[in-house]
Amino acid sequence: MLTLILWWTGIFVESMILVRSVQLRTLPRFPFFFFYIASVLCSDVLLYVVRVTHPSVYLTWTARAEVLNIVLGYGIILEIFRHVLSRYPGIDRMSQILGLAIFAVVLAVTLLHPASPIGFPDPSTRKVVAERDFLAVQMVFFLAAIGITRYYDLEVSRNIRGMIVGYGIWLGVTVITLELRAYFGPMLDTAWHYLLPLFYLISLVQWLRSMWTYAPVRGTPFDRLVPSEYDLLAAKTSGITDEVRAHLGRMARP
Amino acid sequence: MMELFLFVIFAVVFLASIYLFVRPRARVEGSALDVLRAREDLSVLQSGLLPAEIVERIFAKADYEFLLAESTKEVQELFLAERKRLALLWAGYLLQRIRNLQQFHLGSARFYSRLRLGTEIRLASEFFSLLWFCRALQFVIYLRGPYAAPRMAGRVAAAAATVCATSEEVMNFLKPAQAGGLAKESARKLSVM
Repeated sequence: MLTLILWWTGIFVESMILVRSVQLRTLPRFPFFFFYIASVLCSDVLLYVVRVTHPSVYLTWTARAEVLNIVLGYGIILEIFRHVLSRYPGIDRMSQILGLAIFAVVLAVTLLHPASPIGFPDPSTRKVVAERDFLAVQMVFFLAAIGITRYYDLEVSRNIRGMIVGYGIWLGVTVITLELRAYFGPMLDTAWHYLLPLFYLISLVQWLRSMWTYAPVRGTPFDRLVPSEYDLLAAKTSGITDEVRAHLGRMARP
Repeated sequence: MMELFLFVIFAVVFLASIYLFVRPRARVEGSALDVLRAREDLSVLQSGLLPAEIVERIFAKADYEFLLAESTKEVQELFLAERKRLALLWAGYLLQRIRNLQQFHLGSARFYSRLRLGTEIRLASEFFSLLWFCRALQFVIYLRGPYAAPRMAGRVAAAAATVCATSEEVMNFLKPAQAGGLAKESARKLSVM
């Protein structure tokens, strides 16, 4: 019964998010995010129908929908990167290089340790491990996005902040839950079936709250420094750190 | 078991970073007003808080040596505790200054469209090591007291003066840059009109 309540509430909140996006005309502003919400809403409604009418194929379709939504989850990360970094072209370019570097590392790790789920005898556990790995990679990209945003203290709109918090909570909790499920096996299934929808609902409510009104960032940034000025700024800042370190180094020696 | 541990730790660190991300903090915009504020801050430092004589006085052994000869053990201990507190406050202030400087750099550099990853990584590591050094200094003072490093006072004064002088240079050079940026923005607006 609790699962059904969570399910229906989820469908209601997802519908509300989409309705608000139509009312506020924010659909074209956050296309990847709303596509993800629309996909999740369709999956939830269709899966409910399948569960009632064809219970035997329900699990197969659930697995397919989960894979689709995990892939579409990358769209949210893309949306966050796109909105936060588009105002700062220099950091945007740097982030692309960083993103490629992360991708290369992930690829290298995958090649060095191929198909880790194969070691698990239970097919449901294999699926859980594959999902966990996929989401862990998302977490790495997500961490890079919020790390850059925090380091440079980039301006983030209320909408994007809510998107980050909502998806972040869901991602973190899901990886922990999947890892515990993979380690302890099907004995955790009951808790898993309640916990994941509950935290997903919390994320949905967070998204609805942040997307209730459209809140763009204030002002338009502009390229304040010309190339020679950036070089000078970097050189001078570096010079300061060198000098202070040298002085402090001499101080520390008795 | 190791895999379980690694994934759970990673996810917990991830959730903690989301929490840190949400926590509000003071913004450094790199605007003309921020340059002005930073200059005021620097001026207060140079004229009132970090002149070489004051720093030398905080770390000078003369007062302690006088008390060693003339007063009771309780008074000496009280004096040492007070000096240690002062030295720690000073080290904390230096740490804060370096942090402000870093924020000021980031606040100015983020608007630049041709940032270089290598330069930014180098600067980040320099700031990191400097901040780490300051923390280590605080730790040494905390553990061994204000007179842990005998040659500290003179060096401290020199370091403080260097930081202030160079920061002043950076701010002087940034001032026209802000004006240039604003001029560019105005030009863009005019061209749109």
